[in-house]
Amino acid sequence: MTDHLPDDLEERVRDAYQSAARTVQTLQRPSPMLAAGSVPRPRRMNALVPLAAAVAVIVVIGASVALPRLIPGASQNPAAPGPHRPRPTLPSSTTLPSSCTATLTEGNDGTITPLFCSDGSPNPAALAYYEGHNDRGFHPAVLRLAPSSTRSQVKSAMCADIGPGGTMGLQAEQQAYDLAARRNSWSYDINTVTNLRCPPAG
Amino acid sequence: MTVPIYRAGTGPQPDPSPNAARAAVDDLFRLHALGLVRFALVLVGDQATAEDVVQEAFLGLYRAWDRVRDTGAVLGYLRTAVVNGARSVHRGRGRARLLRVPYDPPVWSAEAAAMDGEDRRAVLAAIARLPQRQREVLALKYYLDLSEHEVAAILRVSRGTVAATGARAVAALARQLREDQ
Repeated sequence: MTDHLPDDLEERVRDAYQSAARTVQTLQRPSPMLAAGSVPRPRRMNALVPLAAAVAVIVVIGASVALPRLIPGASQNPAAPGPHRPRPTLPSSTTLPSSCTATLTEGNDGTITPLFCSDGSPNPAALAYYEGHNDRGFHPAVLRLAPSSTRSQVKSAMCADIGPGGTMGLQAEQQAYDLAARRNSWSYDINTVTNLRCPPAG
Repeated sequence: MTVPIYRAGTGPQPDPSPNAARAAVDDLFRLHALGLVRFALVLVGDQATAEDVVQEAFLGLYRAWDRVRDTGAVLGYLRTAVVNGARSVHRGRGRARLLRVPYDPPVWSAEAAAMDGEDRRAVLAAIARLPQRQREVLALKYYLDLSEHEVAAILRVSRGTVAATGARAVAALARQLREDQ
């Protein structure tokens, strides 16, 4: 093999980049502004905010330890609904890699972030949320499908999820699909907003 | 995201109200998202992660909209945010490797079915083995076709650093490709 002249190599780099970029034909996720109603525009952080956050965390941890002991019966039915129902938490059996976070931010429409860990794998906390550890009644069928499911089966499950008898909104269902697709290595490119066509109900 | 996006320029000043911000960022997403995802793809190696990076970049733009003084500078800001997001991805992958949870991005894996051409795969695989900064310079220079001045602005380094890093990257790449033959 002969040496490549720099110009030749630069052309090969350009060509390789273009070829890789062409593998992206359409986006799998819609604009984040579709859910922007739930995306806060935080005020500028001042210097005391980190301190206040640390104090808040200490208070919450202290209260979670102390309150069940101080209030008779408080620990008997922790799942009971009420005006201050605790946020859904990760099952204690779930272990998180260091690249993931258990802290989910939940939007008004029930969508959450982050869906994925920084290494690209599905966030176990997000999976747990959509697999039932949520207080919105989300229980998407798309996350119960086997990895070998066909595109048609996936679409049917998604249509059932967002149909009249389903529990899911479009954005939440898209997140459930994104998680399932990543976990099962599907590349069906289904988007609830742009390309999922469901048969009319009834 | 703490990238300053104030820049005195000739572009129009944006309306800072929340609804206007949402509409403006949504328009920018429609205009630039596909291109930015492709750019992110050459940095992180798979579409899903690339889309995550770009989504975060647009959310960062939305949150910082009241600091935008020149909409003409927004694309540069988004590119910088994508580069920073890709760095975070690589840091996470580094930690995952320490935990023996390797993640091989599909674009530059040997089995990349979507990529045609052995040579292209070899070039991308060799690029993936370069240091982070060299990969960034190559992507900005040869994928986005930016000038050294523009690359320097996005990476926040001097133009000389860009030139030197680019030259080292090309030399290392040529060496690796020779060794791979």
